[in-house]
Amino acid sequence: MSALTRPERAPLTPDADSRPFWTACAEGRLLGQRCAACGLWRWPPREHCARCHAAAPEWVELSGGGRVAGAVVLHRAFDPGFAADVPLTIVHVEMDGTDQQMVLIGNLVPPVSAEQAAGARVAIGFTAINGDAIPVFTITGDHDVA
Amino acid sequence: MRRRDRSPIKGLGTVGDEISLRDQTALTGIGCTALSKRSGRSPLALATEACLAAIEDAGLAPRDVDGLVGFFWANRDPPSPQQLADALGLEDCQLAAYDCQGGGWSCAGVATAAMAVHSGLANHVLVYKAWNGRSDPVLFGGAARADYWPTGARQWNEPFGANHAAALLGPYVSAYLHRFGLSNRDLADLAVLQRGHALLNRKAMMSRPITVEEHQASPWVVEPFRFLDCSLTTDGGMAVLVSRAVDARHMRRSPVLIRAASAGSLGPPSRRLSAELWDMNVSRSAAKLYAQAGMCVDDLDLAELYDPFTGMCLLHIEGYGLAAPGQAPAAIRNGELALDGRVPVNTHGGHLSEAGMAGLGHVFEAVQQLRAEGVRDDYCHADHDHNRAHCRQVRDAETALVCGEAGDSALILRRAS
Repeated sequence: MSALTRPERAPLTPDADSRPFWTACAEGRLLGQRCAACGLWRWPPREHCARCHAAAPEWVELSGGGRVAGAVVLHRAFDPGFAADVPLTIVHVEMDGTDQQMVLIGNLVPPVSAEQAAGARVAIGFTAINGDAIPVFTITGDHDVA
Repeated sequence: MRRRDRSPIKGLGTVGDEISLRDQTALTGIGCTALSKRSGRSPLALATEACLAAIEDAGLAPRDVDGLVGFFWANRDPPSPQQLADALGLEDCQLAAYDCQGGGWSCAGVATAAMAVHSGLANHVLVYKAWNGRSDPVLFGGAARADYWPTGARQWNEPFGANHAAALLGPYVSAYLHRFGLSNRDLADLAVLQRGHALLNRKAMMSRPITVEEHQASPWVVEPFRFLDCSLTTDGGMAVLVSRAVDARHMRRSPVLIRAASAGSLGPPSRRLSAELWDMNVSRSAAKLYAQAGMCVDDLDLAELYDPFTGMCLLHIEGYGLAAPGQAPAAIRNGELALDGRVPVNTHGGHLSEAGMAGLGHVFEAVQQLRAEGVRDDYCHADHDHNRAHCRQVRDAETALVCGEAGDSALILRRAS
């Protein structure tokens, strides 16, 4: 885990639905969520299942592997908190083991072009920003086939 | 030359026939201020001028207006309906709606106005947008950090630098390009097409042609978008007036009927399967909109589709069936979406080349195209002759599709026969 100081960045804003996820990030673990009643994966986390409507969230530790579904690369930082980090790649990652239902947003390091990022296999890690641990992805393998 | 045989209006069963809103309301006035980089005026002044222009265009007096619908995203930049009612001197305002969904709500605002006048709640409702989007933009970060996030959403985006439209929407376009083996080059043709349309629009901010090569040489802003893939930011105001069709027949302009409207937002596609990451609300709403209108895509004579970025507009083009999946760039290159093509798209230049007016410019343009007198702010000196050196009027324009961001709201409009 690398420690960076970004005083201008906004702090995390966990809520009652998400706090276990962020706590696990601080411990270096990735949690996903599914319905304990019907088994449907969901993201972002919340109390009720959108299919069976049971209020039975179940946190499950995941491998942290995934595939980049879509990506952007910021060449300009509109938020000064990221000015030192451009080019900055932001990826939407379909996490393994979640029936393609959990798409987690994070940064990709080192940054690559959006075209290179799309479809890439990645693994999760965690970076400390101002004391908060947030997900960061690295490329581990080849692209899938479009 | 245009074009195809005109299909008869197709009824798609009984669903549409049960929609009582069909053709019962009309767009009866449009108003616009100068569209600039620095207005030097307050949003209240811009909104007031645009609304007075729309009222005048309709041949009404301000006291005839009894409803106001505004919309914004991030900054509450347009005046509130209450402020605007005060500024316009409205003494009997029966509807004051003010929605925070920004460009997703441009057509929903019109739908709200239509429901209000159709129900009898109000008689003439203005839908307005006014802001200094260029000189007083939304600030991301620092003490002025905008808090526009729906509850709980901030934590999943902002820590990663995803806090503006390009970063929030770009991954969906990236997924689309990846799925169909396309690249940023395939976004260029739409930018060039719309710039050509803007050159025929006296109120457009952009007045210089561009080429595919210039598009490709323009710098990256947020990949997959280059500078020439992005919406303009604009200082200005626009307003459109909605009235009952039965009243519209006695008003100054030839009425443009609201044939069908959708105003339901599913929000961002965060809960969709990642394999369909680029799939927007439009794929769910389009079929219902056409059914409500009793029409199909072949009935459209033009389409004004939300274009915050080239790539998002391609998703809208395909979502409404104007091109097959992955084929929008090829359709544009083939001229199918040009002024004399199969379905002309963004005939005013859109956000890319006219101005960034959160989708209201698209409604404004569709109304102009469908009126008996046609477009009034191109470079024609007399009647429209369809010479594309100065005329942007679409031939025989009778039916138009307009959509907001992600297809979260949409309209089918029709020239009154």
